[in-house]
Amino acid sequence: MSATRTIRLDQVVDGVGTRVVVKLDHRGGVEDAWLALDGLPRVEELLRGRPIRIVPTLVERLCGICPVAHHLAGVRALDQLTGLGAITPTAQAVRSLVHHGDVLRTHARHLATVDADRALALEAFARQVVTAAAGPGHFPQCAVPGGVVSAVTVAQRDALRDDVDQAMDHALGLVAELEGGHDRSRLPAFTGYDVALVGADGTLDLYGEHLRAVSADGSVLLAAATPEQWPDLVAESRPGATASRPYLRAVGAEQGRYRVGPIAQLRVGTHLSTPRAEQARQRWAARDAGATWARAVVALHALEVISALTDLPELVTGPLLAPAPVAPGIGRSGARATGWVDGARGLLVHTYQVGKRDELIDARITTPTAQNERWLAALLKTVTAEHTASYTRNGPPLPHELHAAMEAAVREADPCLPCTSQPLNAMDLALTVLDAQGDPVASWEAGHSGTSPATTASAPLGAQPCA
Amino acid sequence: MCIALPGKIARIFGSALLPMATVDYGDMTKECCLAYVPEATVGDYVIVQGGFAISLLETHEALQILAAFREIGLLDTRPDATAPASLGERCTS
Repeated sequence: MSATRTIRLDQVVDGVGTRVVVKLDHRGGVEDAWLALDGLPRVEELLRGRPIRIVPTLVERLCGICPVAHHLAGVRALDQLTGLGAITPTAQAVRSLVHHGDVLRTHARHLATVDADRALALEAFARQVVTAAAGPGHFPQCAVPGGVVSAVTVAQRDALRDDVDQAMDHALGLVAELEGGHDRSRLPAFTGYDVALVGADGTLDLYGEHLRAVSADGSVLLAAATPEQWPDLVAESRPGATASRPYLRAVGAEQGRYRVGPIAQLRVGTHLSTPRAEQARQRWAARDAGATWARAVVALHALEVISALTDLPELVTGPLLAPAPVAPGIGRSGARATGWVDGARGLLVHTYQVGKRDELIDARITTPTAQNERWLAALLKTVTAEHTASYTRNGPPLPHELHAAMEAAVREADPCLPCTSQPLNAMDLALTVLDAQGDPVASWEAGHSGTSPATTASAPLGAQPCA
Repeated sequence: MCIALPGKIARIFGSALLPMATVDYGDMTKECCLAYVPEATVGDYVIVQGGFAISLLETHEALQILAAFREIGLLDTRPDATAPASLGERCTS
């Protein structure tokens, strides 16, 4: 039986300030730190019983921040359930175009902190790409089970060709600016696995059909796993929780921690398939740089993929839908299928199970935010451990150095939370410090950096991380 | 999962460099910055994240989001409820 709780309106309407929780040990050192995500709901339970054909649409409307990624992951799961998994070259090209356009758009927004003019120009081009493949609305009109609703028009394709060189200049310019002014990342290295999607040749493919997992020392744990294998590959340490702590089953809950997103995308393969981004990736790797620079490289890669797609004749002509299967329908009762994409924030996975009346009887949606939560916790533990003297001072404001360090950690992992949309050095972070018994001893609220007595701390602190 | 309700712009204020808006959610209002969507006007629907309107929606798209919330029971549809703000207490985790 599932528990019932209230969703507060102010958590759905632009969320609450994001809270970091620090737990001290008996000697006053930092034992653990984590981002409280429990104010965010999981919706899988609420989707049960709905006609499975509308589930991707429901999810993309509920999670209006990333509608394209949810749209594609959900429809890919339906491709499998309907027996229409092998889509046509035109459908593949159009879906790939909208996905890479969406990745480019999201990264361009992040890169406004590097160079606002270049980033805005790149974002405008990315919007043009998404519009060509999925219409001008907020919600994509693109994929349907077995294909797409339309090809790109010749006029739209030609307009993209006309503008892509200028967009390339901006993408290269953003990479160059990061290369020119960026120091080695001061955040600690991650010791878990990197997970991303790849193509048949093992190189990064953000709309790929295979999943690759590589350890911190570069050894390959999974070379080319398929979506059907997903339930056997990854389990949740805390099933049902927002911070579910997924892990790679093959190496266990502790050793199997992993991250997704731009850094994982650049580390997981031997090289990138696109030449300019590959050169940039090599320079990024040589400098041991962080996520912002990685976003610029992935954005450049996405742009090169977009450019190549505009040269494909099937982008503008060809069958839109795969031939109907011999036995059309949603598949046998109890059938399970997985769809995935590797988005700007990383891997997003939808798994559905269908019932007798084509209704959803089970679902699991694995988000980049959940997959990176453990990595972010490790970053927060390191950066907050350098500021333990602050936790007993108990007076406003939140020390600038501590706030800056926590903000840097949150931006590196980039959870899908309102705070990551805020301007640089203005992230709305709250902090609660717990003693060794788990009782609050100090709390700084978001927005005004004032302290409040421990007993008034009321925001959800989240479950304590697994040992 | 990060979920977001659309709100309707009730008032625009501030400057050209820093346009601001009051956004109406039915039972509550919020202020946000319009820097990412400077073309927004009063009556438009927006999705707000971190104090910034990040997406401008057509009216029918905003209504689709509200319909999705109602479909899974996260919006209260009682006759006396003030849409879109009255959320039900049915979210399970």
